[in-house]
Amino acid sequence: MIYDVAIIGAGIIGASVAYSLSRYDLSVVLLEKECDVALGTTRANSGIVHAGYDPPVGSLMAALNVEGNALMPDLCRDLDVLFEPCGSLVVAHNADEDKVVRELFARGLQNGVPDMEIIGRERILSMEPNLNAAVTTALWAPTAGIVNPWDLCIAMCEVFVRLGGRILLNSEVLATGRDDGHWCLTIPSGTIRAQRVINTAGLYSDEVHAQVSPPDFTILPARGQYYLLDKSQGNQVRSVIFSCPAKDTKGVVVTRTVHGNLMIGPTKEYIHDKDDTATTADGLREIRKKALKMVGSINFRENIANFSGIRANPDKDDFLIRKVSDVDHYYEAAGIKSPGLASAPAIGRYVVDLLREDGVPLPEKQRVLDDPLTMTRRIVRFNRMRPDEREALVKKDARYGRIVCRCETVTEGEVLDAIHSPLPAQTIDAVKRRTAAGLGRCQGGFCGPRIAALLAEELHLRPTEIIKDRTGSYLFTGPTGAEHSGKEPRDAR
Amino acid sequence: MIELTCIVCPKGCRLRVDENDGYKVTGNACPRGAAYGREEALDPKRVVTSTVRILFERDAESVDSVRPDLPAPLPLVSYFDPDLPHIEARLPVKTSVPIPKAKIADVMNAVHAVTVRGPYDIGDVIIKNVAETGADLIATRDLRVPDA
Amino acid sequence: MHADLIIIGAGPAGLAAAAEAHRHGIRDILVLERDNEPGGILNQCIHNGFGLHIYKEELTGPEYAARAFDELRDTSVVVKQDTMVLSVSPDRVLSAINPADGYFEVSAGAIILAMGCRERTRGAIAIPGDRPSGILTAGAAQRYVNIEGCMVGKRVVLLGSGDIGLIMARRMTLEGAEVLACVELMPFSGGLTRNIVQCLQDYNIPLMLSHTITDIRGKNRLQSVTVSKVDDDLRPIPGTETEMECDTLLLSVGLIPENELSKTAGVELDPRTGGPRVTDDTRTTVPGIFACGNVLHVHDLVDNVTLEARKAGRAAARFLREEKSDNAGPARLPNGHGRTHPAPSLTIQTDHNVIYTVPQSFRLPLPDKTADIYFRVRSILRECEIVLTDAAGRIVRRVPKDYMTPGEMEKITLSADALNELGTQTLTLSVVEQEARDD
Repeated sequence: MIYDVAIIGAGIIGASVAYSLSRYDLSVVLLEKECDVALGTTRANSGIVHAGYDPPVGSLMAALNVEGNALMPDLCRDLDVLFEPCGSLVVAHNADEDKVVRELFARGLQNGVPDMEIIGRERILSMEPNLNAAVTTALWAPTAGIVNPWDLCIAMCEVFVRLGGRILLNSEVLATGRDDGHWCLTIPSGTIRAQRVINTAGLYSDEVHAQVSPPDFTILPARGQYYLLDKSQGNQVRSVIFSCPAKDTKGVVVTRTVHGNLMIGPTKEYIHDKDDTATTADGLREIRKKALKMVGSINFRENIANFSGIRANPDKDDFLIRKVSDVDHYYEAAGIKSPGLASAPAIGRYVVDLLREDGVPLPEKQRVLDDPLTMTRRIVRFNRMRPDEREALVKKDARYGRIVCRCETVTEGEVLDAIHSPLPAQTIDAVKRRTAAGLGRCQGGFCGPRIAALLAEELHLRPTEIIKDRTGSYLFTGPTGAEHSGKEPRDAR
Repeated sequence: MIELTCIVCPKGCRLRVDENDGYKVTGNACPRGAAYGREEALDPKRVVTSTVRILFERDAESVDSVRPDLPAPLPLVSYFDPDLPHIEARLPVKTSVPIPKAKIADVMNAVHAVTVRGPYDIGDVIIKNVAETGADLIATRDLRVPDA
Repeated sequence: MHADLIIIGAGPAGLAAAAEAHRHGIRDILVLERDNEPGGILNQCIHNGFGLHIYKEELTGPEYAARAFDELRDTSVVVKQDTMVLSVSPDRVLSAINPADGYFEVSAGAIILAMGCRERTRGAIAIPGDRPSGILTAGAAQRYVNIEGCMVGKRVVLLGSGDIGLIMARRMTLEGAEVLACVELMPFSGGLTRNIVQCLQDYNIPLMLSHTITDIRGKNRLQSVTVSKVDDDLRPIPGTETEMECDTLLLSVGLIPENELSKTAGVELDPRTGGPRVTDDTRTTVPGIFACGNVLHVHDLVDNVTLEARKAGRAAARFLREEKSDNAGPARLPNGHGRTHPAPSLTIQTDHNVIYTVPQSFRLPLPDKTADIYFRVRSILRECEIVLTDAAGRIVRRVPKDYMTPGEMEKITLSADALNELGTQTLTLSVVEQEARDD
């Protein structure tokens, strides 16, 4: 078959485009090189919905950030995605930084950010009593928030699939060609044909672009390392706390996550390998130092995980969302750096507008016209339920009565939901991203066996076929007792 | 000279046992250390603990749901093959008495070679006189066969 | 729903507490266990060495668990498995859930916390590097290998020389894996000597003291770790790095009492133990809530867990009896808060050599003839003396010791009469080394 549209890359941007297109009567395929969606930049970032005072005035980033920020609350409500409009503070500690705060405020006004205020020390400390008392002023932006980026990506993909979209995992686009008036995308399992192609390949968007036309941009992968602390530290701050931006970075961020943990980071290191998500002793030390300067009471002994994400920064000053000029029917949303997450809902719509302007007919699906709820999603979140809701749920289905993950209070029923969702969880970490099982303080030590068992049972896998995350990340080498090599114990002499 | 770490108490004295001098022990801080040193040099013994493979027949009709609600102590994962009609699990075992250290590998080979089918009570003999050590390999927990 | 006594956790602590409370006349006892069988972590500890003190023989973990469970045979104790307690309120109402009963709330006359502990993870020590599969705590590996029947790797490096780690080094070797080294940050091992000898030395596994892991490589499955020597301040020394190719890294880097539920009940925790602050009869700062086993402090031997749990079982039984007689009388105090009227108490502080004590204080008068102080020392100490002094610096008790190590729990036993005479004040527990005394 020939698809109307093929989207390359199932990160938050590809997902937003797919979600936006699912309203229309088109055949759409979303191609992803990894074994799950949201495995690139989307899985490891600050999870912040920026208010929009950072991007340069007049940039596409500024417009889409402010618009995306405004769309986010309703979108997350529709998709049952964890989102908190907690606001953000950019805190200054001296006269130079006060000046930066005023500049950001002015820029925010021009970008159309609503409800910002510059506030003084007393008010800052009444809002955030754990901040370093040496703060002078801060930019308070109440429209900023926090969201679970991978949950948002997965939710959009699930709706896309439910409305007839197709997601092909393990389907890296190796080559792009033209045949008989349509695009031919070579993936490991064959060829995908489509009238139109949208490149949302994130870190790899420059390489994907190069398959059809000499690229006019390059992605410069920038690694960011993070600390994720126990929920015991989650109440250190209420809003997102930015240190005043230094040259080339927003500085370190101290923020809660939607799960109630404290997250601190990121570093910014330009690296060569787009896949190098290692953390380093130096990077982690830098984060600790910077964070303690802002919030001295953070207890880093409560650390539960460190991780890195790679930003898909372009060598250009703005997002590159456009029709690729020298070829027909090829579009891209590339170079989506920060504030890409906050902008994502708006980027999806913007790409749809690009297609419309290019003459693509976009009739709305009858299903969507008949029932707007088809564009929404609901999932069971046991740990957010009231006692009476829990009681009713377990009565209906006993599998919600067995707690699998102690740290995050996730039930077997929720894990089964994830395994049988429109975008099935097939790995330990895929279950984690959909249910939060294994995300907590024991890092899967207790729930790992149970989740492995459910994956094996439901998907008919041998234990050796169960993987943690990416292809090759196997958990088991075989049955106990099969590898005995007759090792001799040491003789006493 | 045989050098050993004493395990009689947490102190961990470095013992030297002289096989040319009637297995005389030096370096010990107490008489129990001397006794340990002599025994460990002359005839070191260990209790071997491990698990043996145990197979349960699986209801052929319930292949789709491999283990609907099997009672404890059945494992959660267990190394099973979805295409085979049984469930594989591990039964913990030990040698009934300490066996010569030099025979540990032989015992482990016997442990790995055996496959059993339940039920078992704690203390039931799995292999009599395992690897000719004089010790029996015995179950260290009850294992019930799930109801069909 | 109501039960006179609710015990959270059916590991060795919960089972022993239940049996002892029953022996002391409590009949309406409910034990809530999150796993699908009683016994707790003992079920996966298939090695032997348990029970020498309590049962006078060397048992394996499953055998010890079976003995502990047998003590409940023909009693009225109810054990609910597969049951997760979600919260405990300060006035002793629990919410819990299981597939059979669904969501339920139950009030208790008394509660014994016996939830055990969990293992510290890679995050707790912030090892930099990649995040591949093949990195797991020793206890998780133990569960996979011994119960689930799945081998977790073929070439193994062990970080930390805690007992579970040492046991797993031997276990993995016996199952055909190659254990390259046991890497220990400290200049001494926190494990029992017996385990160093029988789990490492027996199989020629090198113990690398004063070393740590400074990098982890592997995009998907673990490929290698970098081992570095550390200086006296435990900082890696540049230039001492060696890379070890391996597919598995087992972590045995400490245990943390699991007190998330205790916090929901408002129980005050001691940052040094990670467990509740308790008086000599295991009573926490919340009336009617007791704690025992690894949720209170991490024990070295399960036998000591059982002894402590029995103490908790007796204390809870005594509390329930006192409640009953209080309630029978005319001047009844609500919720038994009358018990918390400041009884005379002895607080115990420590010197720099002692990490913590359990209990943290004594309530006077003491109920039994003797009272114990359990504690751990910070480093290996030789030719030393345990000294307990009163507020005026007078020596209450001194015990000479040849050798003390952080890996072992220490105990001194005191006469109740002597303590009762002291009245309300602060005692100091110190360990004095020989040289220091000679000064």
